Amino acid sequence: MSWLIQFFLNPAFVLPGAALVSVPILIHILSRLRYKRVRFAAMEFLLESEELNRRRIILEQLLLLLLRILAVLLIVLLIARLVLDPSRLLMLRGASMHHVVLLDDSLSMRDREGDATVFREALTTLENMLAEGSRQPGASRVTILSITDPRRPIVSDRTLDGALVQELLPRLRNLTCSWRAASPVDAINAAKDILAADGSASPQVHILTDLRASDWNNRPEVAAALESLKTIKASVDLVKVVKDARPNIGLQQLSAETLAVAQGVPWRMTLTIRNHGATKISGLRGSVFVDGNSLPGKVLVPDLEPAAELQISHDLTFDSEGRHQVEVRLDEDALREDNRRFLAVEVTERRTVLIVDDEGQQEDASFVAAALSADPALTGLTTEVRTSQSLTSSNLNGYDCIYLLNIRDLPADASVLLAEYVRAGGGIAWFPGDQANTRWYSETLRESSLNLFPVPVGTLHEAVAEDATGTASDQKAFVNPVFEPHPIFVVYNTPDSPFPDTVQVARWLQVTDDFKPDDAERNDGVRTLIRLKNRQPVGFEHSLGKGRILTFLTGAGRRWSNWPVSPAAPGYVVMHLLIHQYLQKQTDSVELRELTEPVSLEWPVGRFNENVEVFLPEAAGDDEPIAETFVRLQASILPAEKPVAPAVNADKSKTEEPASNTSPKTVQEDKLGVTIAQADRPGIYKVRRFDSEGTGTDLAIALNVSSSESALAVADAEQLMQQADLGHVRVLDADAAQALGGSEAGREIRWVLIGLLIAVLIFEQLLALRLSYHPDVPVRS
Amino acid sequence: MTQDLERFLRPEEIARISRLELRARRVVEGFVSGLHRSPYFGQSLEFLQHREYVAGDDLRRIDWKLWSRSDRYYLKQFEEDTNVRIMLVVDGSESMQFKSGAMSKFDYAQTMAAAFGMLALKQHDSVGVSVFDSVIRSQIPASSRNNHLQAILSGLETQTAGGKTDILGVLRRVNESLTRRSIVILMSDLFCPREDLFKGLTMLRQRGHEVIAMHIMDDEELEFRYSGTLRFEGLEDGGKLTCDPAALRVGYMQALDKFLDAIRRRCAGSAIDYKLIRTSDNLDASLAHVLMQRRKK
Repeated sequence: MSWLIQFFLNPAFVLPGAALVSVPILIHILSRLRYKRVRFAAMEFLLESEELNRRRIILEQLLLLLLRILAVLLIVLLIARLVLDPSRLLMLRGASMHHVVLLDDSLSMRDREGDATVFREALTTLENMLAEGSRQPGASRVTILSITDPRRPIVSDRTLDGALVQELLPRLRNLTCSWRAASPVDAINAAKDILAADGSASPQVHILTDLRASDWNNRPEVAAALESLKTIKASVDLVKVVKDARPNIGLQQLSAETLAVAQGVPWRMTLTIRNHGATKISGLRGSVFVDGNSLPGKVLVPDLEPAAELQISHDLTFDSEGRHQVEVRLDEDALREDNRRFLAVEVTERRTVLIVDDEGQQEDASFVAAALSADPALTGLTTEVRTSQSLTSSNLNGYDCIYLLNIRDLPADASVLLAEYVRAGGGIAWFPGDQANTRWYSETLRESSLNLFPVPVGTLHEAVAEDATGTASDQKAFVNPVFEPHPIFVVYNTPDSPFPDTVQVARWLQVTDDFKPDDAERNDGVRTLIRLKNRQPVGFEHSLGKGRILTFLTGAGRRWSNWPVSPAAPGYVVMHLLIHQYLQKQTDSVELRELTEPVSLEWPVGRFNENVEVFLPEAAGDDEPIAETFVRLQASILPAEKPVAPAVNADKSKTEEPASNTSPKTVQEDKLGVTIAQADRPGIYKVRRFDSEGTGTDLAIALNVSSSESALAVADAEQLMQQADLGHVRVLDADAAQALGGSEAGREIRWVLIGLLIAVLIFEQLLALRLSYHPDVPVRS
Repeated sequence: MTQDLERFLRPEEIARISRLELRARRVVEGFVSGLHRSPYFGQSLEFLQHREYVAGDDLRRIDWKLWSRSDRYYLKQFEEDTNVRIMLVVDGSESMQFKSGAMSKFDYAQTMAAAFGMLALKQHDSVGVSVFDSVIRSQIPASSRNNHLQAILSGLETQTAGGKTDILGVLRRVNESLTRRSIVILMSDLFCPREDLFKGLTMLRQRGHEVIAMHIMDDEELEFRYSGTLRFEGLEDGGKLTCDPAALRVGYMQALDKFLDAIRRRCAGSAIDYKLIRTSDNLDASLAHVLMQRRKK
């Protein structure tokens, strides 16, 4: 009988009440045994009536008895407070219910409602639900998962009773909301897995969430996950713990073209700010902190209309070398966590650009070098001009980008090194000269394993001057280029800019005839950046790995164009400075990440050993306290990945094209990896790894909250329900959910019981009236 | 009939009078006082002959004028003053014991018979009484003598209800005992085999007797207002049944109506005066009803 007790708030009444059910039966039996004797004369009529009505009388008597039993039963159920949600009553599936509670602890739950966060409201709701549920001893089991980390249950399949509640209350009160963005899909699937594995209990999923529209509306994957719970016959309560959406401003992004900058050179960061509220925001200001110190100037944000987004650029200059921490804070609002963002910037004395020029005079290189580092104090750049022979002997990773001028061709190992450099994030700019081996450019460099060159090139082409009649003349000929919109051509694409017409191209390497000039038609990832006015394409961009490659078929010097000389020189200088910015290799020592997945690092075994030290960010004044500021971790060997490319051909003599068999994709190297579980809040994390000699190398990781959590608009429940077949899902307010643990369902069933009892009593009275004789005069018996 | 007298003629009041004679007298007086003219009005006696006195004769009937002339005792004999002979046949079977009110059916029949006898003798009608169950337990031959009333009353009063009914045998014997045309008044609950009953009654009618069937029933038999669990035990070995009577009431009433309809129909078909009488009915009213029915004829 114990399995029945879970359905009653007053289980002590159940067994005595069950005994009371026998009372009508006893009364019925006793009434048949205790009778009065009547000596009667007209027995023949009585016997005749009895014979005719015997079956009907027995049925009616039985029905009356059943109704009386039912009436007693209903009264007992009322007194014992039956708690029964018919939608959850899956008697055949088992005696107990398994409640899986998904606690939304994503960043948006930090939304403040008065002094308390929505997350705290959710915890209060959860405490109430647990307390209500615990009044049904042994009735339910409970599992509590957080939405951001469903793989680590807060509570795993425990019997819900008073002891558990007492144990859980302190733990729940110490729970903190995460800073992560998380889709509910993983948690819903985890709940499904848990409940599917537990076939003995009736499944029930409660999701305590702020029900943000960005997470729940127009998210087919979420609707599909909810719908999938139907397959295990689970009912779902979406408990909305937030009442209304509040205005919120989000610092959506804090970015910079580069995180490596030279000392004393202005460094520009871009703030992307969005108004997620429904009212216009005015007078918003931002504060900038460098290495924890507030800078005197404020970032003034223009008025922001509802749902509007704007970008503000802000320049900083770092006076000292080293790694600097930059933080921007907007004025606080409902969700203050998305008003702060962090960057780490690597500041060096100078940034270095490698210029490789195989032309004897290296005149072209001197023009480029002059453009980049005419005044190193101003540009922060230094240049190294070398020949291609140095490519294999230099550590290319030390250069921000590489210019390749007048290269005829390169040895295979140099090509591979270049490809690796670009794949790792580096950038190169090609300016093939008139001595270029067009076959090497067109075929070898364009092999899929290298992919260092964008287009097949053919012969050198020269502009032809024409007179007024259209015939060729001896006058020096040139063609003006047309620049596509691109960051490196800002100076040329500014409205009314005089610079495009100053550039005159006399010679260029022409693409082969079979080359399709239309980028969309070609669809090979190569974008045309410059076309001459005669429609000949001479500038291209394509990417390789993390890096970028710019290709110019016009030469960097003055032999093929007037670009580096007056009057085109100003545009030339600006363009090369922008090329540097555009191609600049991201530094290895700083990273910018979002708080979505746990921070994981991996590296080749030979580079660092397994010892990792992590310096955690310190809490600001009003932040939640941090338990630790330093952790020492141990990296582990990662399972080797299967090769994704053909195996390495060891016989180098057979490889005419060396790049094809030395692709990094085919080289499988053991890796070490570490996950920094403690990296769970925004800030700058310093990770120190050690090489075989024990020398430490630091990596600064700027961890920021996800911008997807800033939209606080609450989901439309109706729209959510229409996304799929979600008949098993209910959307409840937190108040309703508090009673869900027992009393709400109890109240509902109580009214049902009362209604049923009244109906039974009325029916019983009608039947009794029918079965009895009610004369106008007093009855004799 | 005054209100007071009416009140005293109710069965429950009559039942308080223990002596049958007094009961009957009360009923008859009540009945008589309710009539507009006296039943004795216009009555006359016609001389027939003289007869010599023998011991035991009523001294009041001696013709003293003739004695003065002849010095011998002669009685004056008159032509018989009645034109009807009445035979009261009272059912004394066990089923007549049943009562739910003040009087059992037998009590009621007993009182009615006494009242009839008294009234008939007052009119100088000849009246006799038979009380029967399976046999005729008591039989007072018809007579119109003044002292015959005592014989009738004692014949009735000494009887109690009991025994089974053999209506055909009883009526056959009554028929055999009647030498002249008579009015046979049967007072019974008629709980007997229907065919036997009508065979007997038809037999009487065929002999030229007028038959009046006074069907005496108790209120509970007619209305069956019982409730609660009861065990019915039949009188005259009618069987036993434990039941909730309310549940059977409809069927009972249907069976009873069917029974009464059959009785009425058969009586009408045999020119038998039929009167259903409840033991709760005022006795004088029942008496008057039967007599009025007779007067119409």
